[in-house]
Amino acid sequence: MSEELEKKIKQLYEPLRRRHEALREDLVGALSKEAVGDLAMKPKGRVPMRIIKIACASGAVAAAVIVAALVAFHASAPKVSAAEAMQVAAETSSRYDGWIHVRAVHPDDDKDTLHVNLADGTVVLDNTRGRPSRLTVYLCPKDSVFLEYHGETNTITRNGPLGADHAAGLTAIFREQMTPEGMLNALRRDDPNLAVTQTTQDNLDRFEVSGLTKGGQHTKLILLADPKTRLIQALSVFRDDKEVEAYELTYGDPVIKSIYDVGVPRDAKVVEGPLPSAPAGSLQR
Amino acid sequence: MTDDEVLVRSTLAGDRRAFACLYDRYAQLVRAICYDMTSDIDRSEDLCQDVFLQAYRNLRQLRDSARFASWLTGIARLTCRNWRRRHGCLDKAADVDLQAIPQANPTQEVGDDELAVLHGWLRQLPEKERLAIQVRYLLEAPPDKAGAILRLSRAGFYRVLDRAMKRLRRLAKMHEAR
Repeated sequence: MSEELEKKIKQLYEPLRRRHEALREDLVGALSKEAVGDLAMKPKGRVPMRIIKIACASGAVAAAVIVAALVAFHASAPKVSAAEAMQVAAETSSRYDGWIHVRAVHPDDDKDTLHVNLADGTVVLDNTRGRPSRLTVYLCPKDSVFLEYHGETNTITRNGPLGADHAAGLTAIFREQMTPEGMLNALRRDDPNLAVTQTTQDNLDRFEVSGLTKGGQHTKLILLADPKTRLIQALSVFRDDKEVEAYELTYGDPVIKSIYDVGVPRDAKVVEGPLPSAPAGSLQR
Repeated sequence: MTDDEVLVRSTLAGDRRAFACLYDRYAQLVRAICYDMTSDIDRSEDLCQDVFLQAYRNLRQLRDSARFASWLTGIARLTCRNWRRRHGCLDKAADVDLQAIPQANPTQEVGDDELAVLHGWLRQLPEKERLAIQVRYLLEAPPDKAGAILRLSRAGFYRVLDRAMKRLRRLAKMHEAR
């Protein structure tokens, strides 16, 4: 009885799906004439984490992998009006649309590397931190490819399909926050009372952001950015005046076309992973 | 961060594709809510577009981006109520006198009398129970997420869903008895 009811309920609403694609295109077209919300209304949700995680799930095995740590801190700035905020948002979103390479350079974080292609949403993580062996994750939404390389078994697992929406979210965060202005703008949305000092270091713009006490520790963030392109070149995190994380960012080459381009051995055995029953569900896990 | 949070933040950062992903995820649910309130497929599509546009314009007012779905269904219900008021259905609650709604393309469009009967039963359910069914069977959301959309605990969601299904079964039995 219940199953029959369920089936009929789905059947009842089925005609509502039939024009979905066309309606979505209409909506996206309409959005181009719209502004996203009233920027004067500050969101009061959670502090945006610059620690970006992708929940990589493959069948029964769900592995949450940290792909980047561009840490969230709070800095000082006056509250801005809606018009000002809109202008700032427009000016600070980067127009760069290629590969970004984020490499952890702190001794404790050595060999953690993230590559993101903003053009098509490809994400590659090369992770050895805290692991006896190498783990490489390769996500290419364009080609519906989701691979995991496990060094200890020299095996590449080909996983089930991954939704393109994940890449859209990740690339959007990078787009907004790969310039110091964008990152600070995002931080100010959550906390306008941050202290930011701008100086010059080695011909780069240096931003020192302080004012956050996280877990009882004073935390400071230092960003170095190219004065011409505005792209962040380096980022360091200090807690109680001790550097605990450091990253270098480079742009453009190398272009990564496959998992082998980041050093995964070509003789690695390729095995099929169990297909998740529902990709969206597995991501939520 | 949940997927919804990431997509909401991306939208706020200017990525319209992220909002399109949210649309893909929830449009069917919103259309179903609108369809229940209007009994008109074309109108439910129009209202759904309107709901998403409103959500986009007001996205910064969403305090907790993890609650996007719950917020969106609230906008959908409000939009439908306003539409009904404009069309002379001056009910205060959402669940009364649905027959009074103008029906340009009534349920027959589904093309099945049985489904038309089922739709009638669904429209008799309290709003929360109807939403529980839609979230469960259209969105196929996991219990925790389904509960969050209805602002209920996982157990609370199951209780409402169970109540709704029992009510539907009862209606079905009454129908068979006739």
